[in-house]
Amino acid sequence: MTLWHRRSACDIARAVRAREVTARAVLEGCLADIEARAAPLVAVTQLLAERARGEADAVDARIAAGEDPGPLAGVPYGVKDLFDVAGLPTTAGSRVYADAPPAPRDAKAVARLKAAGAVLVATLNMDEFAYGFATINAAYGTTRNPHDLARLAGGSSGGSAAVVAAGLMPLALGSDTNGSVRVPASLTGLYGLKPTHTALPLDGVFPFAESFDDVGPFTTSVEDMACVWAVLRGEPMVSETRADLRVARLGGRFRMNADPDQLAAMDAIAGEGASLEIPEIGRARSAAFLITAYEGGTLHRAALAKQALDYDPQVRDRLIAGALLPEAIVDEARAFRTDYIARVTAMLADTDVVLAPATPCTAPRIEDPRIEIDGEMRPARADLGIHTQAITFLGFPSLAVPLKRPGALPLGLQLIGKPGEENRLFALARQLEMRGFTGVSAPAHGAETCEEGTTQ
Amino acid sequence: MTTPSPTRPGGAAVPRSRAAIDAAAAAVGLPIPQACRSGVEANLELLESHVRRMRGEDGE
Repeated sequence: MTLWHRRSACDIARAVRAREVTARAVLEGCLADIEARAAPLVAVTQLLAERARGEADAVDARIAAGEDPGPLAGVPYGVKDLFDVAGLPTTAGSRVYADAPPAPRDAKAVARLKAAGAVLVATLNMDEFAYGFATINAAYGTTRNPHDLARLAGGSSGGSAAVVAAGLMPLALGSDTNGSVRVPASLTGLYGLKPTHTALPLDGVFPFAESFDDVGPFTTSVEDMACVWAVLRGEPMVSETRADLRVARLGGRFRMNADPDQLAAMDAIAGEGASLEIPEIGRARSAAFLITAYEGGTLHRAALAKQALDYDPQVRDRLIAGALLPEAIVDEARAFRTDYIARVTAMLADTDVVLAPATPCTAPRIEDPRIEIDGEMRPARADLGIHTQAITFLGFPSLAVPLKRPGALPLGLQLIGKPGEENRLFALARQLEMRGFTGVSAPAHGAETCEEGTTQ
Repeated sequence: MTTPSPTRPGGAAVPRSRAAIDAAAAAVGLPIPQACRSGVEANLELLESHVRRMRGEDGE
């Protein structure tokens, strides 16, 4: 089998544009690998082979005609099940929408990737309606971590993370409301971006909690992330290489629930940089939790009134509870948010990038999906986002980067920046990659691990 | 942290009793099937704990 699809997105695009390989050949290798290895991951919900072949052939036709098909020429990718794909129902991971009318057009993010030459191969599993950090889905199954099939991949964009971590494709789109890209990126050892709130197009993306919803990519390198970011923004790629970034690390509650490797890396990276304690981080996370519950519950209220029993029971009960929250409480949370953002923004005036853990631990086991928080065992589904949700509350961009620790289960850090300063996050991430702090490690037993996996 | 917070201890309450839950559900036109009731109650308890924390009543 040709393994072009296991290379980085930028490598594939360079080779396709240089006529070293055709987009169709890259795609056929990808499809064959998915056929051979994807099933145990429970990550792919729909293979779009016919559409993908059409897109790949269109890329090759443009090259044959002497045109440039774009910076992602021939790059296979997948999307979380909440992006509109023309001609398909957008299920958002739920049986409730399995028979919905087909989307009339692609989501804007998908359209931008297509215009850049990327090839859409599959739709991918998620927590129902994106309400969870685990990708435990009653209808479509629990997505498994390529680094250990007995463990969760994280969520809610777990399918997107799993296919990239397994080497089935170099790029996937997810969405991040409270950590749904950063959490699975940390648990599967990938780069995952939560952009500045609303910086990437949300048209054609099934919503969850509009105060926090964002599109976010998963990649295996910083170079790929910066390229995809530029494509999704519809802007030329900017390669910021500043060496004088002011880096600080977060203390307080962020250090209380973290792995020693994360703390050691944060201390080593920040060096003499400040240790900051963002005030009232627990209050911020709780306010984010309440706004999310209310907005999610309100969004689904009419559908729940008609067909509550068609929902995933655990998601359903969370949504109903959120719909019953008094609006006055949510008004309090929103007022707290406005005040909080102003205070934290002032506090970070002299800092470019802040470091924090992405998850409090490595991937939990599927048979016991709980994690220890403040000395108590808590449900992973609700609490894996303890370090991401408070950052979401600020609306700041946050890039999850994988600590380099081959042979061990993956773990990530967040590089948190100021609104609109994603390129500084990429600049620091490049430095960390070069210095050996971060980088993607293949699953410990190699890419064939998935063939030996357990059943669903 | 000494900065005054816009949250209000003693403000609106999360519905917790059966009567309060039924009233809140009726107010938003959302009947609660029996199969959902215990799960909804557990989630409302969780939301109440987050309201307490947001208001600083848990000591942060």
